[in-house]
Amino acid sequence: MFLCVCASCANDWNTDMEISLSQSAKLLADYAVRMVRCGSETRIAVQNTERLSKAFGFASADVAVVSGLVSVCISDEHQTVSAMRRSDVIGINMSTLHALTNLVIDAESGNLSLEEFEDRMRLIGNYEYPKWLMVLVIGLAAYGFAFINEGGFECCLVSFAAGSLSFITRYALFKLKVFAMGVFLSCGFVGTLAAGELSFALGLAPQDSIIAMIVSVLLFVPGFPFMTGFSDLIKGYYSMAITRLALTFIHLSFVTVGILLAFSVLSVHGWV
Amino acid sequence: MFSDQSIVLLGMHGIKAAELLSSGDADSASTLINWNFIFSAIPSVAFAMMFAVPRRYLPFVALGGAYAFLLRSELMRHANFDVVVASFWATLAVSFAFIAVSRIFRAPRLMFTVASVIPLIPGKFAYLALMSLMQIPTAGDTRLGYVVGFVEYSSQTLMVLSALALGVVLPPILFYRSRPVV
Repeated sequence: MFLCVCASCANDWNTDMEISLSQSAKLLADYAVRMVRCGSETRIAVQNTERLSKAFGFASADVAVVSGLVSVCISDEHQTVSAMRRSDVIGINMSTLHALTNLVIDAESGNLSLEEFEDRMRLIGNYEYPKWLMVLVIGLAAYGFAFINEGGFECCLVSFAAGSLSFITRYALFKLKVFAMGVFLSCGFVGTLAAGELSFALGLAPQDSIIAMIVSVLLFVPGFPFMTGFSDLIKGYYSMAITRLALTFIHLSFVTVGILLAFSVLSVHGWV
Repeated sequence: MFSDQSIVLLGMHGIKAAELLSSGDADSASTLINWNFIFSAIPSVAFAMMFAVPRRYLPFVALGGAYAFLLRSELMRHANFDVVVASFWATLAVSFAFIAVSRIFRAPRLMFTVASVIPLIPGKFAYLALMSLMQIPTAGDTRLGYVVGFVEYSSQTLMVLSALALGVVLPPILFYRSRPVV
């Protein structure tokens, strides 16, 4: 027997076992969606969900993750139930990924019932470091980037200020719920403009000014979508790979447009 | 403010950084390497914190970033490796190391490796490609030079990025063909 877990069909189920199986399917689909959302490789998300299904004693599990959709199909000796969830690849959070991975390990070791698993998964929130700390750390990172690119002391200071300012912009715009790509465009613009203006004001050498402008926006590279996209491509999850690499390309394009706009304000056109 | 010469110098500055370093005396070169080791760790940690890598793993990310950068510099300096090849081997080495670390701590390998390769991102090549691209429409007779510059720098950028991605992705394929690391 095959049952579908959509809203219209859910009311037709009568027995406890059917409800339990359907809830399990939904739960596993939720788990897979959260894995994909927080930045897991598709292969890991699929494998972890299948491992969970096995740990909870289901006879078989089929998990499919494609661009924008997660499907989980589990079965016991009597019936098969499938659940689908919409997914996206925005909201990368490694803390969540770590916590979700540990849930699988606990479930496999037999320390976790399905109910406990549900409770613990609901409790996993998206941890973030304090904003003031992040602004400071991003400034220091820009300082470090300038140093390893052989910038002088003043160049490093300018990079620190510009990097911090671009990150403050990021927080301010996200708070205003500006569209993500608009945020990255603005960050590229503010970071480059701040580095350029400060370089002019302090009379930095040309090489130092350029280094300051480069490093102030370097941390906006979409490293996680790029790496997971590449990984998905190699491991055969082409749909997700294309989605992630497209996201990387669009993200980079918007930062680049921000940088170009800053150049136009700085009248940099003609420097080369 | 900026001349053709300064941009060319900047290109050399990045591509031949390791060679310029080796031209100095041994003590200052050694000191610079030590400082580079420390400062290359900071961007890795910052990137990891941006994506909420748990606090207890940040020292490993810092070490990974520092070793990746140092290894690439040393490969370029002593083995005369090209920046692309050096980036690949440095990333591969760090990625292999993190397979062991992730098994010990039962943590996803991805959260160590991606942040660790951030100091190797080819920002200068990308910048030079962008600057060349901007000049193409208005360059007049020198347009061909900018076209060549754009192709050269953007291909370098793409190749370094591909080397980084391959270096991160290959080790787990060799080790774990059917089962994830944790």
